This record gives sequence, C-alpha cells and structure tokens, in this order.
Amino acid sequence: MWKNFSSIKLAASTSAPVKRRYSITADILAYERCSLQYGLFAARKYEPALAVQIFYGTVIHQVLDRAHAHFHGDIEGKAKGSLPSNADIDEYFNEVRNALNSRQIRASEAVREQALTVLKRFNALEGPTLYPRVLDTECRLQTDQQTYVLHGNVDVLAETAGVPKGEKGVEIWDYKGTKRPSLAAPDYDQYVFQMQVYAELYKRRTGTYPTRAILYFLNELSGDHEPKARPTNAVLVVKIDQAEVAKAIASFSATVSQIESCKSTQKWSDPKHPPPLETCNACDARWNCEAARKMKRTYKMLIP
Amino acid sequence: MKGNASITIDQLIAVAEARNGYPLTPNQKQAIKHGDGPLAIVAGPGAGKTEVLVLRALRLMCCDQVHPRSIILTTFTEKAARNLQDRIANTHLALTAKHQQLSSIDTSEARIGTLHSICNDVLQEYRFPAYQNVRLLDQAEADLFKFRKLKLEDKHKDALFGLFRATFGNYPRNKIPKWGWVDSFATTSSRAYEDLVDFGAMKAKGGHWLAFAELCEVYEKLLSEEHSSDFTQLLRTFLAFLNSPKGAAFLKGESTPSFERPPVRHVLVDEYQDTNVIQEAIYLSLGREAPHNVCIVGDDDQALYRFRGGSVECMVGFADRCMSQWRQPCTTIYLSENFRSHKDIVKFCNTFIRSFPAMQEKGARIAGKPELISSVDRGSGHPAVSHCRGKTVADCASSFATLVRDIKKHGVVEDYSQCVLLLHSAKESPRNAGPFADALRSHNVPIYNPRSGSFLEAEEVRQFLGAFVSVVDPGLTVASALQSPTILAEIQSWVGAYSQLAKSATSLRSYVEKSASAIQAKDKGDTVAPAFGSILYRILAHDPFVGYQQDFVRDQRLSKLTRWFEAFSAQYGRSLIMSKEEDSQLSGFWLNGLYYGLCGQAVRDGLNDDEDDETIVPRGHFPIMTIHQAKGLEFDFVFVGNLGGTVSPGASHEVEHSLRPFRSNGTRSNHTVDSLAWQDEIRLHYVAYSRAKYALVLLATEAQLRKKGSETASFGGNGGSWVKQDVQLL
Ligand code: SF4
Repeated sequence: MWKNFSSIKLAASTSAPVKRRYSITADILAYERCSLQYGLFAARKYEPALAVQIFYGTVIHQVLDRAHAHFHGDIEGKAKGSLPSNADIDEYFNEVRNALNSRQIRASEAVREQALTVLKRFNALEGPTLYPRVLDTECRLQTDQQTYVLHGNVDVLAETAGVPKGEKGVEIWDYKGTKRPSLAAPDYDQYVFQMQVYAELYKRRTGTYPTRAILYFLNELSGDHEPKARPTNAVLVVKIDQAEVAKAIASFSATVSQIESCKSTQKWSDPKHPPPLETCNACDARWNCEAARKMKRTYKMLIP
Repeated sequence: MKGNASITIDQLIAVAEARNGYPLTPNQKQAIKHGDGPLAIVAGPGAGKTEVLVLRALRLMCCDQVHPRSIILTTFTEKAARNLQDRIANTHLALTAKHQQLSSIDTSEARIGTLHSICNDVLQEYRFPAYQNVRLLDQAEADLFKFRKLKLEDKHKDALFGLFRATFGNYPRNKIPKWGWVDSFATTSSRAYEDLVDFGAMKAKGGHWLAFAELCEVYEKLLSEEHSSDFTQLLRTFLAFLNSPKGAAFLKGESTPSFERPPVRHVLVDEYQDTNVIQEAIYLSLGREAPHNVCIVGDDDQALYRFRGGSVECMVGFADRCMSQWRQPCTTIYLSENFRSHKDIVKFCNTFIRSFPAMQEKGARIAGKPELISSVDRGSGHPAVSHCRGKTVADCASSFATLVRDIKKHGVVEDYSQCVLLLHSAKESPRNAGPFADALRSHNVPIYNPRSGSFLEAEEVRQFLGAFVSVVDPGLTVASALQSPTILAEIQSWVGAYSQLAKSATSLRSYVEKSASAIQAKDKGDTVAPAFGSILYRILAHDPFVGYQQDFVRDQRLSKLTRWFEAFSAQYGRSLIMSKEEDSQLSGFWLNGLYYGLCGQAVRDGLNDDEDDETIVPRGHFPIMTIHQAKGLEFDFVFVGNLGGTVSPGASHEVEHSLRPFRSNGTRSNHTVDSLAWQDEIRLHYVAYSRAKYALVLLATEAQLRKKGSETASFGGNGGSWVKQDVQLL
C-alpha cells in the first residue's frame, strides 16, 4: 500500500525554539535559592503541600495595596487623601483573610496577630509621609530580552522626597514580610539584585532609572512595643548604579540559560550553595533529598 | 515609547517578505493595510492568517505609532497566545535589524492572551471592587465547588430535569447521581450566562423557569460568599466593569504622574468563529469608541465549540452587528489561498463543505464566501486523497497500521510525528481509538495519545492513590459505606494495586501501616496533620516512587496527582482532622468529599495526561488526536477514522434551543436543532480533512461507506458512494 506514496520523501521539520517568560522572584531567585526545589515545583509542576506559607506575604502586600488605594480615593466611601484608620486596616485585613480562607489557606492566631500588628504600625508610622508620594502600586513590568521575556512586579513607585520641583525623581519600594537579613546572608545580595533588575525594567518602560530602591522589612516593626520612629533596620536603601544594573541583568541572563539547559536535559542539579536552613526545613522534598543529606541536613520521616 | 520611531507599511511588508522568502498575497496585504474601522478577515484553512495577524499588530505599533498597551489581541488558548507573542517579538527583531529606530518599541507590552486572562489582569490592575480578592476557580474546581455547596431542592431538580432533559443522557430521574445534577446545572447555567439571557423574563415565566433562575442566583450568592468566581462569571464581571467609571478610564486611558495608561485603540480577535454571545458583547464594548477598530479573524466553516457555548453565528453576523450597533459598515477580506494542502485535498474540502443542504441554509455560512484556492505544490505522483476500507474496524485499523509503519520504514516520512490519526474521541475504548491504538502497538509504532483517558489506569497512579487511601481510610472503613458501586470499585482497585506493590516495597509498606495506625490512635476531633499534602510527599519519598520520578512520563503523572488534589484541598480543607462522631477515623465530611467529590469526578469524566505546552507531538511518536485537539495544526499525513457516524442533536443544541426565547440580544440564528447538529458535524469533518498537507486518508468499513448523505456527515452530501466512486482506494 505504501508504494502509492513512493514518489514523496518528506523530512521532519524542526520547531522554532520557544521564548519563555521568566520572573525575578518566581524563577530566578527561586532557582538561586535551590535549583532542585525549583525543578520540582516550577518546572516539573508539583504542587507544594504547604500553601499556608503564602498567607503572610499575601496579606502584607494586599492590605498595603488597599491602604494605598484608600489614600488615593480608589475605595468607595473613603475620602481621597485620608489616612486609613486602624479600623480600616482591620477591615482590609479581614477581606484579604476571607479570600485566602476560601482557598483553605489559613494561619495560626499568632501569625495573624503579628501581621495585623505590623500592618497597623506601618500605616501609622510611614503612611503620613509615604502615601502622598505614591505614584503607582503593584506595577507589572516586563521586557523582551530576545531569547526570553523578563518580568516583575514592583510594589510601589513613589516620588522621591526632597527632589527639586520639576526634576521628577521616582523611587521603587518593595515590601518584605521578614526581618532584615544580615549583610552576610545570601538573601541580602538577592534582594539587592532584585532591586537592580526592577530598576532596569522601570527604565525600559519610562526611559530613566529610578533614583533609588527601598526595601522595607516589615517584621522589624513587630515586638512588644510600638516603635515611635522608624527602626534603623526597617529599611535598606539600594543605590541604582548603571554598572551594577548591567551586572544584575547579565547574571539574570546567565541564570536563565542554566534553567533552560536543566529544562532541556530534564536534570536538576544540586544547589550550588546551601539553601537557607528554613528553606530545607519547609521543603516537601526533604524526606528523601540527597543534596540536603550531603549538607548534613537529615529529616526523620514523620508519621503520617 | 520614546521618539518618533516609525516606518511605512511597505517597508514593513518588504521585511516580512524577505524574511519569509515568499510574497504576501494581495488580500493579505490589504488586510494588513486596512485603516480604521471594523474589519473581518475570513481566513480559510492554511491561509496564513497568523502571519497577517502578526503583521497587522506590528503595523499598528511600528507604522502608526500606536502604543503597544493600546492593543488588545485575544486568541483561543494560552499556548496560541504565547505563540503569537513570540512571532510578533521575532518579527519585530527582524524589523529593528533593518530599521534601528523601532528598537524602542516594546511589543511585549501589548495585551495578548485569552480573553479570560486579559479580563482577569485588567480587573486586577484596575482594582475593580467586585473582583477584589476574588479567587478564580478553574473548570474542575468550579465543578467541585458546585458539588460541595449547591443544595438542590426538589423544585430545582424538577426544573433541570423538566427543562433540560437532554443533559442527563438516558438516566431515569430517580437514578441520577449527584454529579449528574451538578453537571447539568454547570452546563445549562453557564450557557444561560454566556447567551446573556434575560433572567427577569425567565422569572416572569414562572414554573420551572423561575426555579432555574433562582438556582442561578443561589449559585452566584454562594460564589460571592466564598470570594470566588468562575470563568463565566469573570466575563460577566468584566462586562460590568466596562460599563463602570473605572472601565471608562480603562477604555479612554488615563495618565498618572509616573505612568501613562494609554487608551484601548485596537482590538484584534483571533478564532472569532468560536466566540460566544457574552464575549461578543465584550468585544463590541471594547470597540465602542469611534472609529470602532475591532478586527476579527476566523473561519465560520471551522467553528468547533458550540458544546462549550461557542456561537458561530457571531462571526456570520459580525458585519450586521457593526451596522446595527455603530451604523458603521465592516470591511470583509477573504483569505482564500490555501498554502497548506495538495490541490486535490483543497478540491475535496471545497466539494465537501458545499455538498450539504444544511450548509446552504441562510446564516449557516458567511454569504458570498469564495472557494479555497490551492496555492502550493505538493507533488503529483501520489494519491492525495484516498481511502482504506475493510470489513471490520479491526481490518481497517490493521491496514492503517501497516501503512503507517511502511511509510516511515521506506522514508516517505522521516518521523511518525509528521502524521496523525484524527477521531471524534481519542479514548482508548473499543468504539473509539482502541482498535487503532492496538493495531499501532502490534506494529511497534510508539503512540502519543494524551487524551486517551487512561490516566487512572497507569500503574504508578493506581499504586500511589492506593497507598494514600490506605493511610487515610485503613481497611476502607468509610469507603465501604459508599452509595456508589462504581466509585467503590475504583477505589478498591487502587488499594489492590498498592497491596500488590506493598509485598515487595517494604519501607513504603511500613510507612503506610505506621501512618494508618497513628491516625487510628488519635482522639475524636484531633488535628492529625496541618496539610495532608505532606503525606503525598512522604509517600513519594519511598521506593518505587523515587525511581518512578526518574522516568519523565511517570514523573509527570505523579506531579499531576499532586495538582489534582489541590482543587480538592481548596474546597474540602487542607488539614486532616479526626471525625467528631466516629472513633478512630478521619472526618467523614473530608473523606466523603474525597470519594464522592474528587474520585467521583474522575471516574465520571476520566482523567487525561497533561499536554505539554511546548511540544505538539514528541518526536518518534505517532499522535492520536481528537479533531478539537488538531485545531490550528497541520500534518503531512492525516488519517481520519471512525467515519460514518449518525448525526443527532446533542445536549448543547437542545440547551441552546431551550434558552433561545430568553436571549436578550438576537445574535443567534433560528436554525432548527437538527440543522445546528448537522452544521456542527459537517464543520468538524471539514476541520479534520483540511489538516492534511500531502495526504488525506479516510479509514472506513464497508458498512460505514454504505451510509447516505442524509445519514452521516462524514462523506459529503452524496454519502459513502461518492467516496467509493471518486476517492482512490489504497
Ligand atoms: S530539601 Fe533543601 S536541598 Fe533538598 S530540594 Fe528541598 S530545599 Fe533543596
């Protein structure tokens, strides 16, 4: 029967390479933290068991986003230019919490209390000077890098204080639901790196770099006493320097090619540096992780 | 965007033509050059519509200096959207190589996606109050949500059964399981929402209609109480947004000191033939500002999705809508040159679609549409359209498999993935793909069939689920009391697979046994674990699952299982809690949710393997696909099997018909249900036949070929005798 077709010889076509999207936090930082874990969840698409961990970060970001919208006059019934009260924060907190609960994502009383406390403190301490300067929140920025698309979400764009009128200076704010890491911690460099990449994304969109980036560590506001002034450790100011930005982008691209090569071979190598201990402690792969064992991190099988 | 960076349309076209290595047709150029105002591009199969869409989008950005953010481009799947994005970006790169000034344009800023993803993004970006902190449920989870939350009273059941009998198949009323009711409501309510029915008029009608409308309200209320939304409600919310002040700001654009939010200026819609009524309303709202730059692209003859609410009548009637809505004529451009198929295949497709009376009814096709014109040379020494017949399906399948093996062996094709077998259903059951899959296997041809529906039969899947059930319900205490014998049998077979495995997998067995006893030892109401998902990972940490994870296919299945549980966790809870009533067993609510809800859904619908977003068919494999799956694809050799099926209206036709009196906008035609069924079936075959580049082979039995043109849509209006006479027998 095949002889009917003996006059044709058809070569298989090769498909064009695909261009993938890479996010600073969800891809690059996650891969840098632990390439194995990234392979498991991001590439092989296993579903993490402990969705609970996202409660804190989500609540912090979404409540603050509402606080900004409140001041900006975007929330019905709230006057433009008014600061959210503690009761308003309570209300926004509950809205966000309800939505998370509907996904069965819950947090312990202690965690909820802490989140609410730092949010109220932030609102009272920073709100009066920050909110009026806010230009935009939750900005999605992205850019085409020829072989991949790079994207990220900036929490806040604010006018830089003290810049002479007419010279527009814009700074980037990023909220972290943690304490400030020590200088030596790998997180520290990662945060700085993240800000440099945001700076580049911002420039691609607007033509200029932001004046600086501010990392705000909200958990520095926790504790028994309400701080009267901003604790020194609450912010980390990152200078935006063209050479540093270029380095960050180059390192971003290098990580992307590592990820691509892992994807194509379907082999996920052990992390180059030991991941933070908390990462392993909460990792679903820890029950049988060769890499963790090599780092002398052993986990006894839990029952059930 | 900075500076005045632009080029002329001719420059754009020159770069594209140089890059492609062939010229654009006059009609393609016209579609790219069309200025303001509504535009319909009616593109037959293989007419290069994606290229036109890409160049039209680039023309707006690079020649007219339209801000990329001002462009909305929607298509049918996320995969198609990404493909468009890439092609736009790559062509833009080619343009900048020649015209440096275009480098400041960031094409990735254009809003390209499925309509759902764009609606979701915009609603979040604009913080629309009705969509704040709302969780979008995917299809499977929305169904599970209904299963868990909807309490159907008798009057609701009477209404569903009385009004939409066809959605229950052959079930007698007293034998309908809960999933049957849930599915019926899911189908009919989403259809009602998508058809924009007038619920007020429905209520005024009283009786069953009143009860049905009330049930829809109950569902909406449940969703809002649970801060959730589904795909259909998302579209409704978006339509409301477009009519709100925030929506006006989105359409007209706004400037904040740091950011410019440009207005919406161009809407391009791909695959418009599968648009539904509510989507049409959204597109018309997006384009409501003059000069109404809505450009639709599609082919009415290739509409496939009525069963999901699609309404080809939106496409057929688009020009009329532009007139009635905006008093604006719509320019229609036909792309009829076919660059895909051998000239005989083109001729076959042309004859086929015109041969049926149902396609000649007014409103069945776009009036005045020209025939496809063959425009590519695919050789002349072989039969481009042929058929293969046998006494039985098994005979057909065997000749087919021999042919497939031989064309590869003798180098007619280099790889199996250049071919495809298209069927109505790819399920590997005796009436569907089963005989063909068996024949291929016995000829040692590796198969790729992700929609075989056999996910739950895979060894690793059954063993894994069996181990999990053995932990959470040792001895199947709760399962044994299930009212559904099918679900129980399925669960027992999982546990059977696990028990077999446990004989050799000692460490796994010890974990499962210890865990089961630990749970049994807990007190009533105790929390056993904060996240039951951790148990899945502890099972995975044992052999043989560790080994399975080294195998790509098995690893993907296990990964899918962890995701499969997520929809369930989000509905029934993540923590494992002991029953408050019964000794030494887990919460009955949770276990019954697991069994009736999750397992019930899987047993009912079957589970499929995930389809890879990046590769269509892995090399070295012969794909078996449904015709729907093959939408937008092309293959050197296309085999079409299980032909000769009878045509009768399905549930979607009946539901559409029942809801017709309440439609508040008159888009839908007034075809009878029988005509609709015929038209859809004809289009389905047309899509299948037009996928072929070099060879189209029909596989049919003698009995199937005896069917007349009034009995089946497979062989054209003159039935099987036409194929026997006019189509070469292999
Ligand atoms: S246990 Fe630690 S090393 Fe192992 S995958 Fe998880 S994070 Fe990485």
